[in-house]
Amino acid sequence: MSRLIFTVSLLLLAAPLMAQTYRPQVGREHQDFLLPRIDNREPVTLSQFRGKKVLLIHFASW
Amino acid sequence: MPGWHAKLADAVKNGDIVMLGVTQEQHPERCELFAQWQQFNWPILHDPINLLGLRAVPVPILIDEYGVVRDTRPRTSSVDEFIGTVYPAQKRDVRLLDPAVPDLAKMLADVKQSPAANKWRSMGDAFVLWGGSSKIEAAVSAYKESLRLNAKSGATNFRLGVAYRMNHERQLAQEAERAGNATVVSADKYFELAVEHWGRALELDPNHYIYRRRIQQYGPRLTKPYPFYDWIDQAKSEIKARGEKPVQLPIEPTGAEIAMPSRVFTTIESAAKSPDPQGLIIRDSSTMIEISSVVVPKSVKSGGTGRVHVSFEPKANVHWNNEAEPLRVWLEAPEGWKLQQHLLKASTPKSAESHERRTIEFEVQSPRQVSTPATLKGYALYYICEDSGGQCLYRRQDFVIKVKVD
Repeated sequence: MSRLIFTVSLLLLAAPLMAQTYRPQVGREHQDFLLPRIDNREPVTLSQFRGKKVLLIHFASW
Repeated sequence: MPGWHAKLADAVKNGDIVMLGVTQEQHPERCELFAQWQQFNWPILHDPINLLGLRAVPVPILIDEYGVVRDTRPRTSSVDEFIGTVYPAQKRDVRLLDPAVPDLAKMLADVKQSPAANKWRSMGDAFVLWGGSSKIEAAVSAYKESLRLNAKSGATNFRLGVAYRMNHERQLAQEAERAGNATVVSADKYFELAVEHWGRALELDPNHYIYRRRIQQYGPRLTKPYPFYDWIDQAKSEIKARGEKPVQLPIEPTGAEIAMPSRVFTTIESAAKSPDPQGLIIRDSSTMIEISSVVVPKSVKSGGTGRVHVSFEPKANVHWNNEAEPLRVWLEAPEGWKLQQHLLKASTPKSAESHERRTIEFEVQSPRQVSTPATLKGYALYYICEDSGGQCLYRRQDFVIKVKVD
């Protein structure tokens, strides 16, 4: 039991050190994020679009 | 992307849905040009550091009015149903962010007060995303501090690589501005560090497509599944044909970034001969041209390939003579190693004289069984003139390039 607690504690400590992997889940709120626009560097959050249906598309021009 | 854009054009126009793009690439202007070419009229955000933790692209996600994810693998044929569905209101669980530029000074004071690897990385992220080019060195320092506390983070290594590449291009821009009247600072050390940290990120997370892709951008043709920026010329000409002015690119893609993928290592000009086999051309003893090189990836596997970027930078008090023969480079590889080309020529501007940094790129293949680094030997031949006095000289400079192996 103490070993399990130790392992869980280690994982909890390590969690903030690992970059999160993008895993949106159906039925759950999408994490909010803040990024600049490519054209004018203005800050934009996903939550600014609350009240509208959104197609969020991650891509690259290559 | 163009498929989604075409499918949703009317729905976006009618206000039934919003399209929001996030691009995972180093240079935002290139994506802006792509959007202009494809006539995308929706906002696109820039995530050069993979802040969101994507492992591949493209990834479309359907999100309802309450911020709830409704489909993570939508098809264009199913989006009408999504638009027509009335979803129930949902209790808010996630913390909503302020749509404002973060207070960098406040963040820095906080991280200094209670330092931690994740805080230093967030500080680096904020400098990259919101600090502009003047904060790139601060971003590098923040990521280095994060790695000092946790060296085994693939994400931090990747982001440090992104910041180093940005610093490389910032240095090049500064050198171009002050050419002719200041000390030359070689920017290639930052590019080399970028390649090193991208490589480290991939070692820590070998299946990460976004990390791999950033190395491929500058790497050999054999490792590219498809090209990067081969579409740019077509995009510019079609935009001009519409009577528009194409988005200007501060850094034009060259070499590896526009090279087509290849499935076999090809050698060309195998009959080319050394232009100065006996070494008779006078050496550039005062090093009027500074030569540096970067190999991508940072080390080559047995039987694998690397792409070598070599730059030639005139010192402040000299310039190229463009009316004479162009800069030529002769290369030789150790036994068992193959060179794509032995003799290369750098492109020359149309003006009679110039002071720009010139680059050549070539690829090299290691033997099937290799355990020791290779030393490629080469020399450059060039016509160079002194700014004061105007004396023009034809000079040779010998150099070596070390290729590390895995």
